[in-house]
Amino acid sequence: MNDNSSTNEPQIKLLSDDQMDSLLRDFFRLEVPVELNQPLQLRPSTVTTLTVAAELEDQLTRPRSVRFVAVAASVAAMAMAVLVVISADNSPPSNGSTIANGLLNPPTDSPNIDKSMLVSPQGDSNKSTRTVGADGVTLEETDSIELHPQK
Amino acid sequence: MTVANSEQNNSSEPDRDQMIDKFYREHSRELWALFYGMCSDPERAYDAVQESFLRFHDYKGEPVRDLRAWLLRVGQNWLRDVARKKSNSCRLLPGLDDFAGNRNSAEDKFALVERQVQVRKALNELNDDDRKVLVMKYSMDWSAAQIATVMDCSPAAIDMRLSRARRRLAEILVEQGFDYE
Repeated sequence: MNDNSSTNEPQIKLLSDDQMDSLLRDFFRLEVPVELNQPLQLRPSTVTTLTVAAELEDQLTRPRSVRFVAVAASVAAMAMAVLVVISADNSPPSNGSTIANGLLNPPTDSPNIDKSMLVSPQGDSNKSTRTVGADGVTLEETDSIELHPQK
Repeated sequence: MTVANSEQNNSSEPDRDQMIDKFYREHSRELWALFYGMCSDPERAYDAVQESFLRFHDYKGEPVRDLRAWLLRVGQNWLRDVARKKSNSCRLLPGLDDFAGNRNSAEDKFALVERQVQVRKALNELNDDDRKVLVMKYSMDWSAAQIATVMDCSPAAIDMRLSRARRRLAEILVEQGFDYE
């Protein structure tokens, strides 16, 4: 035993033997794994596989719900677009929206075409009364003129 | 000390499993203590116990004459391999699970965890024989005579070593600034 150091350094209070005994009992009570009291699991890989499978299943279900929300959102957007198109089709044409309607509604064989046609198939009746040349011949009269080549 | 005889490899699979299970119940704690004395890590020591039993379960070689010695050797080698690889596995703070159902405050729980860490660190500072004696005494509650059988010395020598190991551990704890209260 070498006690030279105790004369120079301040006395350090050590734990008593009983305190150390109590401390070590408490320490090892917590230190020993509780699994040691359970039966041996010879195939821990089974547990791991099950855990991994459960995690995988969890990961697979999560995107499915996200996908469902995305599909619902896109269906709602499509329904909105269809509603906008239908409402625009039913609204009466106005000056401001003529171009837009023309773009949205492609030409079809509907009766509206006849209504909006600007040129009559019979031609302009007023024009027949107008003179074509200086002789005072009207357009109708020019139809009955027979042209013969000059001899 | 129970010694497994050589019949375990000749028995049928269910009988062998039963034999292993029985041996585990009887010796796992002792093996854990011996492994713990080597690594001072409760979880690693437990892994060494599991690993040694698993390897024995899959072992198809020559009959094992002394199963305890065989498991000890396998566990020791596994611990050496792990120490060589210096694997730092992520794990919970020691003992936290034990406090989960406790009504102590968070500060009390933290103090307990801190104490465990300090004592473990101090145990690691001891020499191998002192640490083994303390582990066998307090983790398995063995008498000096039982420890003496394993350490191959007299019970009186074990008592003396126990007393000296406790004192040395107390000194280390004081050096670490350990607060018993």
